[in-house]
Amino acid sequence: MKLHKLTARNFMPYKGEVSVDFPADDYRNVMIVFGENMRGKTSLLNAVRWAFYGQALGRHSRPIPLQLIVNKDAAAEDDWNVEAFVTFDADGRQYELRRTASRRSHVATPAKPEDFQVAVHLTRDGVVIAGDQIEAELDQIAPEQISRFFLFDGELLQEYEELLVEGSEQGRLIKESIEEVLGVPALTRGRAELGAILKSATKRQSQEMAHIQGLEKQAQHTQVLTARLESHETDLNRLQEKLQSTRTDRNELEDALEAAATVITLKAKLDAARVSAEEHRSTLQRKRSERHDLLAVAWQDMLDAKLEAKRTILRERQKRLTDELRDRSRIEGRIEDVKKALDARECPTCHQATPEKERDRLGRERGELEAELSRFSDNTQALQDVSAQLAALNGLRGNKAQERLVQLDKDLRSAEVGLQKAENEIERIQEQIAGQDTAELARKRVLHQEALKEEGRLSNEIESVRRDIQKVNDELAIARKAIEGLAPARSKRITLKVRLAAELEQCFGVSIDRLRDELRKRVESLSSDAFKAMTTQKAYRGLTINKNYGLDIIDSQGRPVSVRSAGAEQIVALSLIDGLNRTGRAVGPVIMDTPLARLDPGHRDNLLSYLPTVTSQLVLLVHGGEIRPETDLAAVKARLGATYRIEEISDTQSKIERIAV
Amino acid sequence: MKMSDEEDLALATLLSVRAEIAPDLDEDLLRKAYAIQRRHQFSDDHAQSSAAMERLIDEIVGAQQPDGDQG
Amino acid sequence: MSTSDLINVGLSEASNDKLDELKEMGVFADKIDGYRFGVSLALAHGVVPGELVKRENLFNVGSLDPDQMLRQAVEALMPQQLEQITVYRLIERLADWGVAELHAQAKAGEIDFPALLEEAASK
Repeated sequence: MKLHKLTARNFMPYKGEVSVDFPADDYRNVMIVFGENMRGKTSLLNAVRWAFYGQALGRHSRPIPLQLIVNKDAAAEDDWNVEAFVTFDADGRQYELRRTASRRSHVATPAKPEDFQVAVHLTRDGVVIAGDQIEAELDQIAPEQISRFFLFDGELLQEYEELLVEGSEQGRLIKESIEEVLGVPALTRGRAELGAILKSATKRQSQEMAHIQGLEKQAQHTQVLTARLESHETDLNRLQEKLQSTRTDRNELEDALEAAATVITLKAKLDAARVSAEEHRSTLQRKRSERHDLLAVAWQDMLDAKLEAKRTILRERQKRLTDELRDRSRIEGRIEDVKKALDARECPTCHQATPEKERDRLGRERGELEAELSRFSDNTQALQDVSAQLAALNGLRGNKAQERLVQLDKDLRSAEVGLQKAENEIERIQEQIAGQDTAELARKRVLHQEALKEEGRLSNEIESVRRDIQKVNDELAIARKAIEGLAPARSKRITLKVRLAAELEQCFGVSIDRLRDELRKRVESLSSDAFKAMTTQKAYRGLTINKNYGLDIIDSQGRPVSVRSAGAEQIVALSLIDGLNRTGRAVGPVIMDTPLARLDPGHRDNLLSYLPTVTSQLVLLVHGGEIRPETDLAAVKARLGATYRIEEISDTQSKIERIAV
Repeated sequence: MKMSDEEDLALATLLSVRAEIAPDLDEDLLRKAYAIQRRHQFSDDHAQSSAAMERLIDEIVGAQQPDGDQG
Repeated sequence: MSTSDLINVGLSEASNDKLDELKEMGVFADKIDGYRFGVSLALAHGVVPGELVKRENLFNVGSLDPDQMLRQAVEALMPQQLEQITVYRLIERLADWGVAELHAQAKAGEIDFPALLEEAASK
């Protein structure tokens, strides 16, 4: 079987339509999908799973209800149509499979799967397959029971790794599901139905025998045994129901406890947000106070500008007055000099008597100067006044209030925004934490432990009841044989019926176990081959599977290896998955979440070299941030047929696009 | 990618088990019983297949014991 | 002017209420801050306000104008008005107008102080 194309619409994080073309070439049959988180990659897997089996699986392999499969953004826009369309070929035939779900007309907002109507269409070589035949047709190609082994995500790998720790709780669960998988349903079903037919025929026989002389005792004995059988079967059903409900409770508790782990991180974030809010508040207070202080003196800035003009006038006046005074002084000085010269009657330098002509000149000069002087008024007072005024007005200066206010307003706004953000964050976190009560969590932890114990106890009880049933059945078989020998002619029919039913039931029953053993040998063989191809320790002989589907690595001496590295553990788990996958069907595509980041280079390269050879197509979902494509994927480079990348657009939407190989 | 390998294996197992533990059991009956189960193997409803199984057995009984009591 | 000047300055009843509100709204830390800013706003706009209606005393002149800067500013900017009334009586009336104007702006939305300062510088 080979996948051609997957188109999904409004499927989980993929709003609208996305499509992916699978590699068509036989050799270049590897496709790599890079994604940053689990959601986008697991959703791809789920799109294929939903198309084929009408189921998308979430954590703990629990089905995701249909209303949560629809992309959230599309749902918010009231578009509740979700679709997965797959084209593929199998056994030389071309198939088209389409599964759609849409809101039922009378439902306003879907809140449960029943609020949807689901339709499936399948064509084979262009011919439409009737609705009730679709499941059978698909089961021939890709049986659902083993779908988890070719559509597997990291959680499955984890579960299988835990399986290898014998006796662990998960191991028990895996064992059960494997046995279910490897037990061909036709046989188990047949045995159950035949058992019921046998029981009712036996009852009938007992009733008839009761009236036949000599056989009353046998009849009574058979009746008693049959009654006991029914009582055991009722007990078994009751116990199985109880086990199921206890498991469901336990899973819910596990979810709650896991969620609680995040509470601690949230509390740290809450504290940080509170500190931030406090800081913003204190900044606000400080800045507001600064602003008030600034406004108390800003009036000076208001006036400063207006006063500047006045100051300029005063300064000019001051200068003029100062110049005038200086000039006046100079003239007075010169008059003094002339007076002195006149009084001295002789030239100060040469000490000769001053000639009359000179004396006249000096006298004239003195007159001119005195006239000039009289024109200057005494502005000393005026100058003093102007200077005083100027000094006063100079005292009134601005404080750069304008620019400081602008800055303060900016700071205040930014602190307000910061505070609002912090307060929103606080509210949001508090809502998330609300209801996470530590006392409550402690109680849940206790309940979880008890649920685990209860499951163990119930499982043991179920085993015990099964053994009882087996004992009663054995006794009934003996009783039947006895009756057969003694049965008179008129009871031949019922006796024959009982015999046939018993023989058929026995054949089916024994076949189940035999077939399981046969299949387990096949799984062991295939897993061992896979392991030998992928292990870096070439001295190892292979794997063996024990009764709990626990696997042992066998070393060169034929002994089980006791201590295994984490890398080896994953390879062992992968080998088991590969073995189960290929036992359940012929070669086909595998879509898997890769543990590449956790594998050492040797194992990684082996894995990448081996898997493409045992699958028709290998789709690897790779965590983009954890690997270096050039080195970590080198081993598969030659076989790369297509590469895609999933990008997160928002926390409700992703998109997937093809990128260069 | 057929299941046929495994199914053939199931049938083959049934037949070999029959030869071993119930050699007197009609082989054809066993094949028919298996066929019914295979046809209904995905159905959760046992009513149809169960009834078919019982009818199958009754037919054989009727054929082998035509004169006996109504079983 | 021959009449003696005020010892206490005040506001009209209406403006006093407005000044109270401005303080309550948190615009100014103290009423005296708003008073002074009101004076400067009126001076910047060059308004010539009239007498106060229902006058109420508020501040001692010495508290309002310790360095006499307001007095000198008014004397420098409004010498003509001072021929009619005394400095602090003029200051009072300026404050009255200024406070009412600030209150009106505060009611309309937040007072844009940087803009007011900008305006004063450009006038």
